[in-house]
Amino acid sequence: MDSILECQSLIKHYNGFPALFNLNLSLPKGKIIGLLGPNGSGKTTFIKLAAGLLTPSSGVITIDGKLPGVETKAIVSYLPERTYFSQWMKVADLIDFFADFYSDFDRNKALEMLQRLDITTDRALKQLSKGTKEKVQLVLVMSRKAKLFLLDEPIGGVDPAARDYILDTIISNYNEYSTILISTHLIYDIEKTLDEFIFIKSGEAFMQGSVDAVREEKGKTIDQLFREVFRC
Amino acid sequence: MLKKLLKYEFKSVAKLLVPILLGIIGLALINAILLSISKHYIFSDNVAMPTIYAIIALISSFVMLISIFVLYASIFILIILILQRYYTNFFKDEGYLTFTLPVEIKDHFNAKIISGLAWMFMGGITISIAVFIVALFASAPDGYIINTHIFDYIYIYFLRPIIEGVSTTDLIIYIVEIIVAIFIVALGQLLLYYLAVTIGCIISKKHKVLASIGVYFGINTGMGILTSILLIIITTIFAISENGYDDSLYANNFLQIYMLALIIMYSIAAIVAYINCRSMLTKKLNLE
Repeated sequence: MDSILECQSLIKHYNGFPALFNLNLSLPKGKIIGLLGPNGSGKTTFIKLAAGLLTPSSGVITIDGKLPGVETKAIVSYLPERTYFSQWMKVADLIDFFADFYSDFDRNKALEMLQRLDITTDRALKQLSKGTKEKVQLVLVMSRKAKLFLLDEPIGGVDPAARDYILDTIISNYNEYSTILISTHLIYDIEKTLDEFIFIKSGEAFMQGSVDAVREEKGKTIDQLFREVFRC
Repeated sequence: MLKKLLKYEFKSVAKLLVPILLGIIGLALINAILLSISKHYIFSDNVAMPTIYAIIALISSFVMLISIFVLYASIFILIILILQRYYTNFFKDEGYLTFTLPVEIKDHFNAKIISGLAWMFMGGITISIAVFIVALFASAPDGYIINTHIFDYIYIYFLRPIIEGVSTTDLIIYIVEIIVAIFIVALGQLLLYYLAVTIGCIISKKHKVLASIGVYFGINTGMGILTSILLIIITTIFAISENGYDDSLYANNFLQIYMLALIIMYSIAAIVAYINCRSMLTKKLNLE
């Protein structure tokens, strides 16, 4: 199987309003893919469906050939767009927590990354700033040897220096067996990291392709193409 | 996985509940000490007792009043903390971590039940110990610090009226029935709380807590009506069938049958709540 994630005719309604409409997608293995679209286009809904946090209204989504469940959660590493760890926990507790539940978690890698960021493990999460909490989340999520990484707006609320750190972390932890799906609307910052892109609008994926192909064939950057396609 | 989940469940709730439970015991001890000292004043006919004893007696009464309030409040806080853990861990931001763990929904839910029940019982035991400590000191005769005959009193006033005229076999059945009833009612009640929170959080997008409270009042009213109907039925049956009955035998039989009916009723409620909660968490969970 060449794709890690597939969805067919995927529909998700919120209170009768469609957040995703007839989405058909196939994500290849071993690529860094940008899920790009304006606010409210359905990026987060799609990622949550893949992570098993939402149930589809209709249609099918599969990860490595399986419906979202225990088996898929074991191979998916998910970073939500919000801080989601228990505030009472210390960083060390969180490392133990990840090591307890994820067999693919690399404790040493997490400790190394935290050390590089000068984040001590004896501090409780509630003592950390929002930016530091986000870095801790990213470190833990990226310290897994998962088959599929789902990163929802990883650079959304951070300063440019932190953005560089996050993107470096993503690239340095990438391996040919993993697929990384990054959702964002900050195309310019992320474009150099991507192999492929998916444009999503009003819950529908209407363009998917290789970043290099767009550069070569159209002579445009993804940022330029995005601005063109999503012009208000 | 259940063991691992339980480890974090207990750790999380213990941070808040252990200080509260220790506080209850601490307050009981303070009460006991103040009662021991002020007893010299209370039991004395000597109006010329030092003012300090009068002040301590006053403080003692004040602390006793606060303790009664704290005791009631702590039962409420205990339930709220158990439910808060369920709510935040499943339906708030923490749910994003909880439900992306490679763990079956049934394990998540079972962990919440086991931990919730364990904390309910620990709370019950702590409150019983606190009441016992105060009773131990408060009932001591003048000149004694504690009442060394407290177990005799418990036997005479509480146990003897129940076990008098009951055979050993019946007594064992009676005790087992009480233990089972306490366990089943606690379990049923906890599951009904969880059911109310689950329904409230799934049906309402914005006012989850309010919706949960509303659902709970609905469920509680239903259970209240069922319990009353049960009581009326049993009383009527007894009134028809028992003529010229022995008082203690009547009371014992009535209690036994009432407990049995409660066990059956709460077992059904627990099963219904369990199946519904699990099904909703599996099929209807939407962390929007």
